[in-house]
Amino acid sequence: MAGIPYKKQFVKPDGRKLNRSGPRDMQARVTNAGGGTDPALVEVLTNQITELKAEILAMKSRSGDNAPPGFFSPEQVDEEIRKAVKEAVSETTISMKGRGGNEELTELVKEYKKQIVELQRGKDDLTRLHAAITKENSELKNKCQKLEAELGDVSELKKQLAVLEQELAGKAEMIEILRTRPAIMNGEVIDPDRPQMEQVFVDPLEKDAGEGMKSSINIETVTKDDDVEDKVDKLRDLLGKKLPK
Amino acid sequence: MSKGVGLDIGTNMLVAATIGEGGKPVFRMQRDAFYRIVPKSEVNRNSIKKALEKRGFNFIEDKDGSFIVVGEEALETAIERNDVAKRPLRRGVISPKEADSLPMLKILIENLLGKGDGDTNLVYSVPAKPIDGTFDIVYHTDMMGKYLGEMGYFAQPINEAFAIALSELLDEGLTGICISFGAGMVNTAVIHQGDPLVEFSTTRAGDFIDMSAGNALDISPSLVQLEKESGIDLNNYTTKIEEAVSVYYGSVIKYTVDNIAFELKRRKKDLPIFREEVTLIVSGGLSKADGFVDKMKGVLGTADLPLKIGGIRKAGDPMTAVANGCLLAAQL
Repeated sequence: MAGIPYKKQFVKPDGRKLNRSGPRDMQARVTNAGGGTDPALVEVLTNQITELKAEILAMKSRSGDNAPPGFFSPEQVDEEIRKAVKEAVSETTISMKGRGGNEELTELVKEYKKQIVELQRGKDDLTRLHAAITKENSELKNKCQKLEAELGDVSELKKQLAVLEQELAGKAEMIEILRTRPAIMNGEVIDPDRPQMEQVFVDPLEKDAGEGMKSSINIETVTKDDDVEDKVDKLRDLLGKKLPK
Repeated sequence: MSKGVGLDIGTNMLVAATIGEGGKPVFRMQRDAFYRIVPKSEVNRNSIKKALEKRGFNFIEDKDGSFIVVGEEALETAIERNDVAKRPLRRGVISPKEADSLPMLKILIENLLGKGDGDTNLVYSVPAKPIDGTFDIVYHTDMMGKYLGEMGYFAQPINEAFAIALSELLDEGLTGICISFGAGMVNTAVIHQGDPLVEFSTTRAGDFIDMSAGNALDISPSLVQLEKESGIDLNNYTTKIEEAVSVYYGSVIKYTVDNIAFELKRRKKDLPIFREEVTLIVSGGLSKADGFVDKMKGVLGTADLPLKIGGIRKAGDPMTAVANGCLLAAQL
């Protein structure tokens, strides 16, 4: 066997010299220290190793298919439990059937279903009632708010009425007095039933006024770029066909 | 469309409105001012006539041989002779004191409108009852109706400020306030959905400015009027006359707005509730001045009105808005 060459005088980059390192060196150091093989110790250790091997082999055989009697694998344990549960369930069912428990159960289920339907109906009724009450409540609130506002207006009107009543106090008497008293304007008694003077206007011009006059007048004409018809249509829309009096 | 015509009879200006070709409105205007020149001799008469013709003046020859210069030229002639031009209308209505001017008024209207055919609708403007004067609006309305009837028209009066509403407030559904700042009067109308709720007039207007500025500077009111009408900026005046005119403009505007506030408050019970802001239209010769709307805004900002003013604007054409409203009314 070719030995592995070790560089005994290896100088590391930091300058240190390595002159001891490999396994031979280690072996030599052990031998030098008096640490050689003790035959008694080797024998004891060999025996222990043999016992442990046997133990491991036994364990392996217990967990495999060919398990020795009295030993079960985890899968087998699981299957056994399932079987037992199934048997127990079927036994219980048979015993209940034997005692007529199915009919009672059906009746019981029917009764429960009936009660459930009734309860559901009751619940629906209550939901509807709740919704109706909520709606009515909000309507009532709105009405209350309106009434409160109206109440405010009424109290304001009452105040105004009181002021007006105060102003009117004594006016009726005054009207009565004035009704019986003739109206006087510029010192003259005015009676509405009295015949009125007709308004007559006299033309201050003589009939022939202006006759014989000769005019030398030139008047300029200005035309504007405006649509009279359009404006008249607008005016008719607003006033109709007559001017307000 | 009917052939109705509109006529704005203002203290200072007559404006006729008719419908021309293509349905377009046609306006003809003439200042209703007169100045009579009485010749001293036949030679003088001829020379006056030649001079008037040479200058292109509008004039009327009276049967007594005198000349009546009319319109703009009447003012110029009056100023040249250091005199005052006459006007047939005073404070917006026919003045019996100016009865000798009435034939000229009739001639002017005939020149503007021509003769009617007997059933032509004519709507003419009249001022509202003044709140600071006692003169008779009914007399004026009746007499003008009579004269126009004699000219062949079926004449119907309309309030001057309401006529402005018909012309300018169509897009606002005939809701708003219209103020006509004229020469003789300021006419105001508050209109709600085509219904004139409040109509009144005040007598401090253009003539008041001319008279006051003339008195303050000791010059002819006619000169002030010409200066004023040549164009004035109320915020940037350069001459003493312009300064005086601007000051009295301010007085007239404040007086008008104060009276509007007073009248609206007084008639508050008759007014509907204006839920939205209302538009205010200013029109008439006075409103043509630069800075007029700003002055109005300034005064209205401090006024206590029972309604909210949304915007103030000048009529499309302050000189023809009333006549245009009358024209539209005549078509109904």
